[in-house]
Amino acid sequence: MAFIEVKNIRKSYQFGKNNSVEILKGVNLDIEYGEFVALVGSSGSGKSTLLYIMGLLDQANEGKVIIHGHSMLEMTSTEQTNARLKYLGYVFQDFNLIPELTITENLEIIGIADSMSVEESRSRAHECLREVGLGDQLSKLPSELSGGQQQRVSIARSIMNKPLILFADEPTANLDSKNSQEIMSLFRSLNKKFNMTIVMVTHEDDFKKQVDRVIEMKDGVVIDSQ
Amino acid sequence: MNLSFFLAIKNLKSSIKLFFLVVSILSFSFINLSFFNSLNNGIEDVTNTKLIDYAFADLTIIPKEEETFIYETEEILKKVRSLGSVYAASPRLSATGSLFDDKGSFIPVIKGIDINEERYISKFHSSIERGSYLGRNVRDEVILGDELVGNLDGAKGTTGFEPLDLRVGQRAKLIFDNGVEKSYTVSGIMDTLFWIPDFYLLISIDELREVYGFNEDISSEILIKINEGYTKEDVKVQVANLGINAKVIDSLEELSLAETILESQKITTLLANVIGIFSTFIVIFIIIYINVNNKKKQLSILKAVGISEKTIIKSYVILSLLYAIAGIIIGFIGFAMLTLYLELNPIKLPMGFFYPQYTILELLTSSLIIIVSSLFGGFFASHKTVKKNIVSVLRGVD
Ligand SMILES: Nc1ncnc2c1ncn2[C@@H]1O[C@H](COP(=O)(O)OP(=O)(O)OP(=O)(O)O)[C@@H](O)[C@H]1O
Ligand SMILES: [Mg+2]
Repeated sequence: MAFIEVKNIRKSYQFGKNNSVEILKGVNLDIEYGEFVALVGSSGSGKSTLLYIMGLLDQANEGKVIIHGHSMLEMTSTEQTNARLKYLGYVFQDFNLIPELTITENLEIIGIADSMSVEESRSRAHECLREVGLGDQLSKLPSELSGGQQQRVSIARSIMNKPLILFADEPTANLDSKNSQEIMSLFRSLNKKFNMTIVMVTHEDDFKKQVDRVIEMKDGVVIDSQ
Repeated sequence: MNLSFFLAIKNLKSSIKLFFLVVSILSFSFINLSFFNSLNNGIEDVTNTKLIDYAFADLTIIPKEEETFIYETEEILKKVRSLGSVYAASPRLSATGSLFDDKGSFIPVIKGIDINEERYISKFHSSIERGSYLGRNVRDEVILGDELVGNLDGAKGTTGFEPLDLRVGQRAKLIFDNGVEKSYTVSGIMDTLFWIPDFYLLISIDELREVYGFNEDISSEILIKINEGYTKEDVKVQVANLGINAKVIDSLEELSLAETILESQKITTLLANVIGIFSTFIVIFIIIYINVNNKKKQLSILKAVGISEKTIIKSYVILSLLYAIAGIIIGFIGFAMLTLYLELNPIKLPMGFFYPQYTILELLTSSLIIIVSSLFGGFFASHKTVKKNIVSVLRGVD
C-alpha cells in the first residue's frame, strides 16, 4: 500500500445548466513516502486540478485519495481543514502570502492555529525562515521582498507545521532561472533533510532530472508514471 | 493569544480609514438611539408635569360610570377636605361653546372653576401672561388660553388654527352649547406652555352653573392636591373609603388622554430603536461584506493553510465588535456633549421647556443594540464568503 493512493479521480465543471466538461477522467496514481515527484503535462491537462484535489483544497466528483490509509475525501470539511493544517503544506505559483502580515506573522498564524503559544510559534517561524535563508528579513512585509524571496517565505510557511506532504503548483513559474534553480534546490534539500514527500507541478524540463519520478498527464489522465 | 483576535486587529490596522468611517457612523447611530430616548423621556416627563399642573391635579373625582355630573359636590368637598392627607380640593364644571371675535369664532374648552380654591390645585393663576387672574366673586370675566388668541409673538398657535383677535379688557361674545349667549370681559390671557390647557377658557364656576341652570352641588370633576408625605395610592384609598357618590381616579394613570399622548411618543421611540437596530445591522453588514469580499483571496489562503472557517468568521465578528465598541465610546461622548448643551440651553416645546433625560439602563440598551446588531452584521456578512470554494477563489473564478 502506497503512502498516497489516488484512485479513479474524476472531476468535471458545469457550464450553464446542462453542459459539463470532464477535466479529470479517472486518475490513478501511487506516491511513496519520502518521494519527490514532478507532475508534468501540457497546459490544461488537469495537473493543478489533480494537485488541489490531492491537497484537499477542492472536491472531486468521484474517486478516492488515500493518505497513509485514511480516505481523505470522505472527511468532513473541518477534518480536512485540520488535516491541511497538520499534515499538508502548499506552495503556489503566485506565493499567496497575506500582504498585511509581516513574513514572520504569515508563518506565525499557522503555529497559533495549531495551538502553539505565540512565543513557540514565533521561534518556529524564525527557524523556518532561517531554513530558507531569510533569517535577516524577519519583520519585513511580503511586498518588501523580491519574488524569489517571497516564494521562499511561502516555502517556509509550508513547512511551518512539519507537514508530511508538500504540494507545489508551478512554484518557479514567476521566477527567473537563477531563482528557479535556487527554489528547486530548496525543495530538494527539504526532501532529503526531512524526508518530506513532495508533489510538484512543473513545466521546466531541467527539473525532471532532479526529481525521483516524473508523472505525465494528458487530457485528464495519467499517461506515464514510470 | 487568540488567533481570531490577532487577525481582527491586523485587519483593523490594515484598513484604518474604514475603521474611522464605520466608527463615526456607529457613533451617530448610538447618539440617535440614546438621544431619541432621552428626548422622549424629557417630553414624557414635562407632559406628565403639565397634565398634573393644569388638567388633573394629583387625584380626580369624577362622576359614576353612567352619570354626566357629580351631584353632591358640596358634601364630597367637605369630606375630602377633612382628610389630613388632602392639601386642597376644588370643583370644575366643563362645557363647550363658541367664542367670537369681530371676524370669526372658535370652540374653546370651557372650564368653570372655583376662583379661590383653584389656585391651590392648579397653576392657572401663575400662568397669566397678560392681564390678571379672575377677581374674587367676579362673574363676567374670562381667562383665555393663548392658543385661542395666538401666541404672544402673534404667531399662529401650534395647531395652525387662525387665532381670535381678542385682547385683555375687550368684551368677548360666548354662545354656550345650550344656546345661551353672553358677553364677558377678557381679564387675562394665560400661557401654560402646554397645548391642552392653552385651549381652555376659564370662567367662574358659579357663573357657568347659572348659565346652565345648575345648582351648587353640580360639577364635572373635583381635583385633589395631596399633602407631602402621602402617596397617591394611599389617598385614593382614603377618598374611596369616604363613601362618596362618585369615583376617584389617578387620572395620569387611568385616563386614556394621558396615555394617548404618551403612546404616540412610545411609538416614535420604538420606531427610532427599530431604525437604529436596522441601520446598525445594515452598516456593519455592508462594511464587513465589502471587507470580506476584498479579502476573499486572503481568506482562501488562510483556509488553504489550515485555518478554520470558524476562526475566520470569529475574527470578523470580533472586528465588528471592535467597531461597535469604538462607536459606542465616541457616540457616548457626542451624546454627553449634546445633552450638556441642551441642559444649558433648553428647548421650548408646545408642552414646555424640556431637558433630555436618560437612565443608565437606556444607555446600556442603546449600547446593546449597537453591539448585537454589529455582531449579527459581522457574522452574516462573513459567513457566506468564508464558505466559498478555496480553489475557485484562488483561481479568480469566484
Ligand atoms: N473552476 C473552473 N471552472 C471551469 N473550468 C475550470 C475550472 N478550473 C479549471 N478549469 C479547466 O480545467 C482544465 C484543467 O485545468 P488545470 O488548471 O488543472 O490545468 P493545468 O494542467 O494545471 O494547466 P496549466 O499547466 O496551464 O496550469 C482547464 O481547461 C481549465 O480551463
Ligand atoms: Mg496549473
